[in-house]
Amino acid sequence: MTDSIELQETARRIRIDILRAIHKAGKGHIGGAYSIVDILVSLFHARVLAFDVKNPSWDGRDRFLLSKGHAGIALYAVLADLGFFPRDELHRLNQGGLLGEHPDPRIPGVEFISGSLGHGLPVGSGMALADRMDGKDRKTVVLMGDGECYEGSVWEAALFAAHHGLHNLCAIVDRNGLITHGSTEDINRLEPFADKWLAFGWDVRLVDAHDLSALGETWRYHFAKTGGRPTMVIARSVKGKGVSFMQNEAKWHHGAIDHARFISAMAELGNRSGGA
Amino acid sequence: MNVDMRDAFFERLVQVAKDDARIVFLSADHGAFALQEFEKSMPERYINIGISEQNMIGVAAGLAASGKIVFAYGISPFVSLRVMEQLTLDVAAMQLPVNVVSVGAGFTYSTDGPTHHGLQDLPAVLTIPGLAILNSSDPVNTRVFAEHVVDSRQPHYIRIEKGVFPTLELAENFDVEKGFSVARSGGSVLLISTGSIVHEIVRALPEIEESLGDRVTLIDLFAPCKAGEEPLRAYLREATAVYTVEESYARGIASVMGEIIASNGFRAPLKAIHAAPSYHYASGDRDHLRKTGHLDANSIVARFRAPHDLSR
Repeated sequence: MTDSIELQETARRIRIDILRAIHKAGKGHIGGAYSIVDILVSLFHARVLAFDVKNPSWDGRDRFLLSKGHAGIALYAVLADLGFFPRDELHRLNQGGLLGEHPDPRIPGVEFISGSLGHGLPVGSGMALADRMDGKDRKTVVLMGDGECYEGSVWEAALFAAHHGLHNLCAIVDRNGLITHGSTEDINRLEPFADKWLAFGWDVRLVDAHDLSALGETWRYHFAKTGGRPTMVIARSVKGKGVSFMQNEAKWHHGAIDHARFISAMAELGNRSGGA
Repeated sequence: MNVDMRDAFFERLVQVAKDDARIVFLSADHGAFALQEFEKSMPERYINIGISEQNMIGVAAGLAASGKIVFAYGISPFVSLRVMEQLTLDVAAMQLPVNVVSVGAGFTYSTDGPTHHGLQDLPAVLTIPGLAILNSSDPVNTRVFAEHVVDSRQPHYIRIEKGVFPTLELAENFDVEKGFSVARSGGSVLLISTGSIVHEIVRALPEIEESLGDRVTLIDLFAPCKAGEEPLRAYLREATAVYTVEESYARGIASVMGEIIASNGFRAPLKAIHAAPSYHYASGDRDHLRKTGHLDANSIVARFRAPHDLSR
């Protein structure tokens, strides 16, 4: 098992890759990308998920769906770091290369198209159901945004997955508390959020989205399951995590990063090589 | 043999599914007599998902992405308009073998009113790239569709009929790959229709030909997405006039034909006969709605009285 220190260093490097890519692209969804970096690293780099870089469609892989597709750059940075495609593609984000703002199935390592919210949990439920029908023990993990949970289709799937006892399904909500124009609690209250999932019949776990050892423990719990309810991991996160002026600021949901801010963010992230 | 069109489809599907364990059936709490056999003999592959069509299409896509061939069944507007994005992104963009089975074409659910009428689904799903559409008109093509979609492993939107309809085409002449059947040939005026409204045209044919003073060629375009291919283009090229008749709002096959005629520079004027763009509240059976919606045999004949007046 890769230890937390090493994973922290990986997460720091991934945040730098994301910053560079978005700076080069001109703008991007950096806030919600930074809030999920540690979740992704704890799943991918810690090898919690089974995958094969050389053969992304390997049948034995676990399924990972980034339902909050606007954070695509975070997933891309992770996939590039693992070698699914050349790292250079990150620097061509939204500039005619492989990578667009939202994940699409042409990208090696991307399981499913996303970008419109509320699709991942129904699709992931279907995948988990198929695996159960076929007696396969692989897992399906769906990462959603908290704002995404305003979509009715999320709750249609919440009923379905619980009713069918899809223990091999793990949904994660990036609970950063912010949507584009402010706080989820001011705009359309989600709390008591955990109670809602409990009432829907899910096995609910709360975790700090930036505590790599706590995340690892959560995944170990889920991946050891052989029955029971689907798992809902409510990951308490900080939007823009890692760069002080972006943290908990709704305006950094999506935006341009000028040169001064880029330098300042790079300094905070402890870039050792410097420059873009 | 007279058989309900839904049963024709599902009886064949049950046969196919018994030999193909990949097939999974999802229903948005909608039934049919012949489906009971599916549920009884393959309960682990028959799931009533409840009234949650968006989830049904997403789940169907997830199952299909894991090697299943999925059928997702419900009433026309709810498995089209309500799930347009799921059909587009989860199914068509991903090119997964999900077959939406849509019942309630046109005024099928006549007394249920505009909430249940299937007048918009065909125009809507025609806009989805990579989604093949099959619109059944008789028990023969309905049965073939059930097998064909399993073999093709492409995304499909299949409109099946409710109720008993006679056989329109002879089984040996039916070619699903071609996308259309010629129900009557030999005329220079081309009449293109789709779905069970074709039967109204067949009834009206003697009077239509009398009005025109000419024979017509009647085409049942059961696969509108294939309309741009050469076999049908050849008919359009030779036609002196083209009429479309559909139990649907405009922007269905009329628009498809218009685009093909215009972009190929064909000479035939086009006249589109379709349901009026309004909400059809008249409460009565399907025949009554077709009458008040000017899509019954008599109304269709009346539209041919001034064949070259395209302003009507």
